[in-house]
Amino acid sequence: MIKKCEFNNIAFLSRIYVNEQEVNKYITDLNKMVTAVNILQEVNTDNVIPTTHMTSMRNIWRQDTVKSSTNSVKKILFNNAPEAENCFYKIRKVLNI
Amino acid sequence: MLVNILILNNKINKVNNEMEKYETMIGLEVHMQINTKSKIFCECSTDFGCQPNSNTCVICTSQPGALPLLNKQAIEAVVKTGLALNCKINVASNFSRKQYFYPDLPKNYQITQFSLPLCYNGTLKFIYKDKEKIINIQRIHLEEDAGKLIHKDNYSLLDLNRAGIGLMELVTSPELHSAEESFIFLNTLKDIVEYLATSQCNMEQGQMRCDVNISIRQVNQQTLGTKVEIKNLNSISAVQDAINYEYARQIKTLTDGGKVVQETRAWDSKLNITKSTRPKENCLDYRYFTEPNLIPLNLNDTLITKLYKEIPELPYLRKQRFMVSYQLNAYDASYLTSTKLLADYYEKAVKFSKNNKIAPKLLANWIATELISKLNVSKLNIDKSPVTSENLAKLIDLIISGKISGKIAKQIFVEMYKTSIDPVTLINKMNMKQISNESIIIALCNESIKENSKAAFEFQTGKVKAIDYIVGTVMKKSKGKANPQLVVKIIKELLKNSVNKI
Ligand SMILES: [Zn+2]
Repeated sequence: MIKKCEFNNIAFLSRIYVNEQEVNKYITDLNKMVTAVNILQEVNTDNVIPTTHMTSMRNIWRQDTVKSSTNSVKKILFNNAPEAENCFYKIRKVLNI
Repeated sequence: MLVNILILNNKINKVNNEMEKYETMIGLEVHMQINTKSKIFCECSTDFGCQPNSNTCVICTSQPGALPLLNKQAIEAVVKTGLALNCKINVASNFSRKQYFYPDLPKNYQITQFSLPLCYNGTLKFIYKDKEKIINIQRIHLEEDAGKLIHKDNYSLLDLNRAGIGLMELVTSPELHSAEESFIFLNTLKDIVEYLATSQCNMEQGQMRCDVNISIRQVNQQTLGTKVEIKNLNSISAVQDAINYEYARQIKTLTDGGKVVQETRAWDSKLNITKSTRPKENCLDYRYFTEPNLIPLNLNDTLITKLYKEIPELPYLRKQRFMVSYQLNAYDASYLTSTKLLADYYEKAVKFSKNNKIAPKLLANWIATELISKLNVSKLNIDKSPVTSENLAKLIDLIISGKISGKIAKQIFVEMYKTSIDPVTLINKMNMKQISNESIIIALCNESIKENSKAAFEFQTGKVKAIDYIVGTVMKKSKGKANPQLVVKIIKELLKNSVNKI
């Protein structure tokens, strides 16, 4: 079961602000999900091959060719940014790690 | 003064004694940018030095709904590198998401590989202090690079041109024991990868970067010491400096009675120190899960065999062969095999030469001195050399057959470099052919003996070195074109004859 400290850590990692009143509501919801998953965990999967995707397709890839996006697309992308300086996105200062 | 020196010596001895008690365990995580034209999950160019954010699209800026398109060449490059490093290949492999928030990562997760890396359990062999050393490679996996941040005083600038370029991450076991060993390991790896052409490993362009895990433990201790990770190393010499610094810091911490803390430290290349980065506690959880937007891989034998066959002769073996086939010493052989282009140029020249006894050594000398210094000045790679390997071989053959002297050859070489014309044409054009016609040389020698009668007398009375004056005069008169061996022989005969006459 998820405890309050774990919940706060998940919220921090996801960069989601949760106020004190909401915390208990979300913990209750998340624990309902965990309970549901725990029920699934009871199914015997000894003879089941681990699967990550529902498709039987494999090796979907492309050749190494360059195709630049159009200038108008680049302009739209760039103009989405709240702030820019020359051709850079301008962002809040981050720690240099 | 003497007392001070004694105290200082004692202090140094004490530190040295302490150092002998410990051994260092170093593991490396090497990131190498994969040599593809386009990024790993989109068709944007990977060119370096373009206008910021000009090589971006909806995929590498992570617009909602944009889906990755895997570049087959990136898979091939990693598998080929793994095969060359004796790795096992996970033919059934897939991608995972590693979640973290940082502005250089627009999706807020990095696509990487987690439980099924493309390559695992490999080895890299190198020579250290004349002994063969084998380091285990735990894995090589494929992932995407992040963007580039430029930090200003109170804000940062972001360029996403690098975001989404394919990276291979190679992880070694903690089996390296010193900065010097790590240095040789990285250089050997770089040489191999450059031979494979799977990464250009250009340090200035950040194409090869390294994280270092380092711990120290008392000699004979079985368990590993506390591991410290150093990030931010973007040159092989920085790796060396950081290891040396961290090794001394950890020993000092322990001998002062302290404890080494498990942490991540950053290398400060300006101050030449490592600094603690103190990340928020208990927050490091990447919550890996399988990337749903990329179909799993199942590489077939045909592809793996094809990649295996494409692996060229690697630098270590090529060096050994050069030493045996061309009678080169270890120094020349490792120099000539340091890059594939250089080794290819040399071998082509050797094959063009008609002489296979002296030419290999002469070619090695000419390439390492005359040619490389000129190429360095004009900032050209050997494959763009104005003197082709065929023309250099022709020049060397002319020297060996005695048609030109070494001195004349150097003058011709300068012209060859300027004009790319072959040496035979140049010799005729420049009227540089060596004079081997005896009657012409006899005449020149007679003249020179007369002009240096004092030297001639000295030679006849036993001062052997005096002949050099006369030879020098002949060479000057012939503008360097007289065959020097013939000149010496004729002067000696002439002087001997005149002694007999006396
Ligand atoms: Zn893109």
